[in-house]
Amino acid sequence: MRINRDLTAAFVTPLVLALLAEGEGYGYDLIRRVRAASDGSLQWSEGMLYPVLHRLELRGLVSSDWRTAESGRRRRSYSITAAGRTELAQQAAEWRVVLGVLQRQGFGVVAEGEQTDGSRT
Amino acid sequence: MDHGLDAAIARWRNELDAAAGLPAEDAQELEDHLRDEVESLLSLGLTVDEAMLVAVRRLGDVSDVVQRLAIIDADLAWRQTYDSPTSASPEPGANARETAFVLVAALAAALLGKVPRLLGVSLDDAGIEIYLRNIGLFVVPVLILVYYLRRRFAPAILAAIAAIVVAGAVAANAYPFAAGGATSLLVALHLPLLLWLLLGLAYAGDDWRTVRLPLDFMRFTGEAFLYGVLILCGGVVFVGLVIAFFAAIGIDVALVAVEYLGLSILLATPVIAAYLVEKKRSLIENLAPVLARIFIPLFLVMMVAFIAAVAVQGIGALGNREILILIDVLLLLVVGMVLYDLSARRDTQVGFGWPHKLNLALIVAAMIIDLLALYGIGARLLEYGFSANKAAALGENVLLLINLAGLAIAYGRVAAGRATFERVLAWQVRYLPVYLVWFAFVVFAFPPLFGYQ
Repeated sequence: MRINRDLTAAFVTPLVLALLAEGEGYGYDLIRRVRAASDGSLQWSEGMLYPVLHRLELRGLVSSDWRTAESGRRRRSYSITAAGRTELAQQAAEWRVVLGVLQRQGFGVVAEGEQTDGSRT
Repeated sequence: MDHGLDAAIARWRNELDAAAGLPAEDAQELEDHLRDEVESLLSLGLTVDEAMLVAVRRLGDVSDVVQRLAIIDADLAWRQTYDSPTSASPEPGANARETAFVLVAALAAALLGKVPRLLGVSLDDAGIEIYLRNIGLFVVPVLILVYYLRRRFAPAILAAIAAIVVAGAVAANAYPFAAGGATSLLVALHLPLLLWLLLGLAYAGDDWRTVRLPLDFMRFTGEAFLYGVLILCGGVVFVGLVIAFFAAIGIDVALVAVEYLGLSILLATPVIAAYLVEKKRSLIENLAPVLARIFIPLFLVMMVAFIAAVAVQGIGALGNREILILIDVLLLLVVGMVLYDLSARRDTQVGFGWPHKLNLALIVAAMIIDLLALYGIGARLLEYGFSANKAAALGENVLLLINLAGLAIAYGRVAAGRATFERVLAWQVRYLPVYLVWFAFVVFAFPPLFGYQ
């Protein structure tokens, strides 16, 4: 499913932080983890992810390190910082409010049933 | 087969490097990504050519990635700094409020400048010394208060700053300075420097032990200086025009214009400059590094020529004692230029390229000149004894020399691959308190030590 640009921009930061809070990872790995977490319905592009990672690093929310993988290749691995965890908690609280409201307005039910409008009635 | 893959990736990498000019680390990161993608495609049974085609296509608009990465990297320079929590969500009316706030602060600085006048001190020959000794006190406390109101750091820090400011005010006005004495001038010169470093403490607030905020304060200082110079140029033109216009109809307003308009503009300038640096960063923020980049080679050539000239003339040519002050200025410029250049460069450049070699050469040349001068003057200084001026100039010289030596060593470690540029900057930040102590020493101890002469 294709998610529009504005919505993606809104949730990419908390999602990246949440993924990194589970464990550090490099870019390719993160894209794979997003794909897995969404059962393949979210396909992030590199064009979006790397700038986001760099910007988060700039803000001090994540930090990066060059690690040597088992294959002998060096990879830039990202991990969440203490400031990142604070930011994550803050955003999680905001999202819980947003998601709660949306759910009460029937979004949760629609998403589980048919996706066409008005199919429930 | 593997060989074909490596060649294909190398070709892609070349194109990327040629097109983008990305930092090597970022390009390497993208290459890693491409390799991962290709490998997973190969494991699905695609051929190398097919896998490359799909992977490159997926990596997508490389130009898009590159463009966005490049924007961030360009921002890196000094921006890797303080992000005030309020800057993210400007509420309506916040701008107008902030402007009013700054105008009030600027006015407060200008009005503080009128205090001596109220106490009966005028801008004549005797009065001007009092003005000079107090000039920092008119401006910096206002700025410190602005930063306290903005960042609400621990009251203990504010109390410590306030205590030193008050002590400085007492020293500048209660010491029985001899008219036209050297110590009076030294206090006029060093009290503003001391106050400015205290402002740095207020600027960093609770984070004064970190590297980032003091570093940001140095950037702030350089850019506020540039803004200040621009504003003052405007001020001079303005006051000059006021005087000229009224002179044209036979009214002499020169004294009034200078005392009221000129002084007010002078005192309000740092406040407004500080505000502009914070507010309009993008306008000028890359100016200081650019200036540094232009002048580093020029200064290097000048210094090498000077060293050569001294070598020809003999070291005795360096006997003029006034040269110490000249060299102090030079060393300060070198420290400043290297720091600006380094701070702007460290993230966008990997490895120890020629710009860094140039910086290192600049530092070394400055140290050579300084050592030559110290050697040339040393004997004479001992012979004539230390006046207050010479002692101050010599003290600053030694401090700057140690500073440069520290930078050179840190730089050398980077060149040897044993440290990062962050370490160089961290060293510089940790050295700042030394200046604070020295400036305080000059302000508080020099006048009594030299009999207030």
